[in-house]
Amino acid sequence: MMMVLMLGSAFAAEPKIELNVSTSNISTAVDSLDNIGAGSLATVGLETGYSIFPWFSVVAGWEYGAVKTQYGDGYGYDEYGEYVDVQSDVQSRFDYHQLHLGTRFQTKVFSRIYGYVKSEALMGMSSMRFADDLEEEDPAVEVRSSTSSFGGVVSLGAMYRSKPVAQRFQFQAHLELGYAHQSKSSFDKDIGMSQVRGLHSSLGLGIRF
Amino acid sequence: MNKFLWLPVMGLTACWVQDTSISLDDNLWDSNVVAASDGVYVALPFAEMLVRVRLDSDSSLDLAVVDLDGARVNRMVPTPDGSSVLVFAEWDECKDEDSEIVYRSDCPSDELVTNSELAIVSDAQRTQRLEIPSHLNTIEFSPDNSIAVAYLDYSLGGEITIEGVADLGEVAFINLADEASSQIRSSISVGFSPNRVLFGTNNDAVVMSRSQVVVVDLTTFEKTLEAPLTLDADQQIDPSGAELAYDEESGASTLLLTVQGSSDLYMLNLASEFWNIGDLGAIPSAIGVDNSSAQSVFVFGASSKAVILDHASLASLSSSSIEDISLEEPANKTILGSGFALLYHDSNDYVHDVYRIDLDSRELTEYVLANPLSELQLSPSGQYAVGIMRPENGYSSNLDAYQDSRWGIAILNTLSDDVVSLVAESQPIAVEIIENQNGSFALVLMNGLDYLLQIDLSQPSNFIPVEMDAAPLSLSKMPADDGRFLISHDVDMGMVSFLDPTTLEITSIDGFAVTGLLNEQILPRRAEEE
Repeated sequence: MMMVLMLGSAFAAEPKIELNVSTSNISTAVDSLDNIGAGSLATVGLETGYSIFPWFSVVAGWEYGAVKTQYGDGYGYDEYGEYVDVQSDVQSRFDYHQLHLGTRFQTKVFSRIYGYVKSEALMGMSSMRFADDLEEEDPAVEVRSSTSSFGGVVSLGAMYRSKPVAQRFQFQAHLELGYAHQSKSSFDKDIGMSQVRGLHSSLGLGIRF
Repeated sequence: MNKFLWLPVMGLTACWVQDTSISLDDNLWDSNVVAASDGVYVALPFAEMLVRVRLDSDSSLDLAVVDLDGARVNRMVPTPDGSSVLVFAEWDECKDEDSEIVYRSDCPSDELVTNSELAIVSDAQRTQRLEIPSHLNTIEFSPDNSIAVAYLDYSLGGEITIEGVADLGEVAFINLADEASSQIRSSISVGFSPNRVLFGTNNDAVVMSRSQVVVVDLTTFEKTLEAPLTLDADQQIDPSGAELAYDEESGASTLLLTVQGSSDLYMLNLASEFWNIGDLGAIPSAIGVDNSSAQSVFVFGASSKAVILDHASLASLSSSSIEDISLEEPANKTILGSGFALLYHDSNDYVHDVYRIDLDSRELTEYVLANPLSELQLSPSGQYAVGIMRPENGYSSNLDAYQDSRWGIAILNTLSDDVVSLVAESQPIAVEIIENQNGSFALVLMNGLDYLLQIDLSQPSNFIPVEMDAAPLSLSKMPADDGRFLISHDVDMGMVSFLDPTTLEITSIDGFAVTGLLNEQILPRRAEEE
């Protein structure tokens, strides 16, 4: 990686740095994650890129998403005789952090629109927290579990770059679609499995200078 | 440029945590946990798993998943000594052998079948797996715990699943002592609707079914005796109660058998295979056998009397030789103590009496309780009896009315003949009696209350509340050598506690019910089928 950056610095006419904020949607492929409402996960992320050449960038970033789930016991009668959705005293929170690092090849399509293909290696870190009340600092019953996994994502995208502002930086926005695949991983404490696999989409904007 | 300013706003708002609500189609755990000598076995219906939980050295949760090879638990029965647990289980099989079918949801519904089996689990390992019909819902154990007998008791309810044909009179004998034996399981048909199994003194089992009694040798699992209850094939005689009476003097074992809707007592001498029938004068509701004094006690739920029979005279018993003991109120249950029998009624709203009959002198002692009983148990020494009293719809007033309308605890002292009726804060859901060097105590759990009462039976108004982490659901004894009590709690994520009765220290473990919550529903044993 350092080698690529050093080469980039040496040969690129005008290296550029990008900072992007994005929101993504990633699929979780294990059926059982539906049990916590995490069939697909919306995340928010930060990404940085370094354009070594006008057609080639090194990109790295972080994404985060979470799902908080209240489990119900089905329908039943409450103390007032009303037929209601009975809540159990089980709540869970699924937190997902993803680090990615890869390369992006881009080319101008027309005017200020660029098309690109991106491939990245992924590392995902998932954690589960079950408690009778997640809002409590010290719940009566609590179980924590975590796991990590590795994989990759390949995506195609389109990027818009604005005119340079004050000759110093440009605004940019992107939309990309791709496919992500990570290894299946087991949560500790025999909670079960997790896997990110499937369609990946991302929408974001940032600055380039 | 400004038109893109909404994009960072959208990105940042995506940072919210998604809130969802999911309804589970099954409980995370079954609070009917089973205590074994190596730990507590808990079925997880939603995850379709079985786990063993226990305290580790630092009093935290030590959890082990029992590999049942994809089978889910229907019911668990511990052996009386706690050495193993018999797990009635079932597993799904997809008859479609397409290799693309991996998950249960992939299998066409008409290709999905459910198989039943019995797993013997010990030390969190499945040691044996036996194919057994799912309808065999009742287990009895031989006195030495070496043989388990499984049969269908239809009165317990539940579905009968039939693949092809089913023999509802099948009784399965499972050899627990010799796991390597090829004869680990043997089945015989004993007639229609077997409803009671007794174990004799000659390594045999006596099985009662409609209109016949069958004796099975527990070494060969062969029938050694088939004794019909009637010679008329059109007549149906359904046993209602049975006990084995042993006479030490003659060495004879006699089967005492009562039948539904009849006052007749059937007596089968198992040595001579000789039947005798006597008329008890009323329809008996329970039999109590005291082999130490060679006497049996009969009570009658709808008749205010009791009958005591001497085992030595059973062969020559006739209606004229049966002597009644008159009671003021009827009794439908009996508990035998050392040299006495306690008689009570647990299903009559108007009966408040408990009787003690001295089996030597036939002396009758009457105890009058404030409310009718729903259950009664005797302390190991026999000095105390503790019962749960239920509310009654009386016509009393003032303090009587107050007590009548509430649940309570009754404590009887069989030595001093004192009786105390305590009013309970809520419905007692479990009572256990302990006797140790500190005295005799009752441990009482009450519905919805997160504390346990330890009542000193010598001074019933002297009780100690023991705080618990959550409201209890059940109380049971750990296997004999453990000495602790096991409490399961009304906590959806799972909680059980261990109570040391000498120190009243309670240690809880919890959170085990989320085990396997994220497991995939993969069809088991696919490779095995291929």
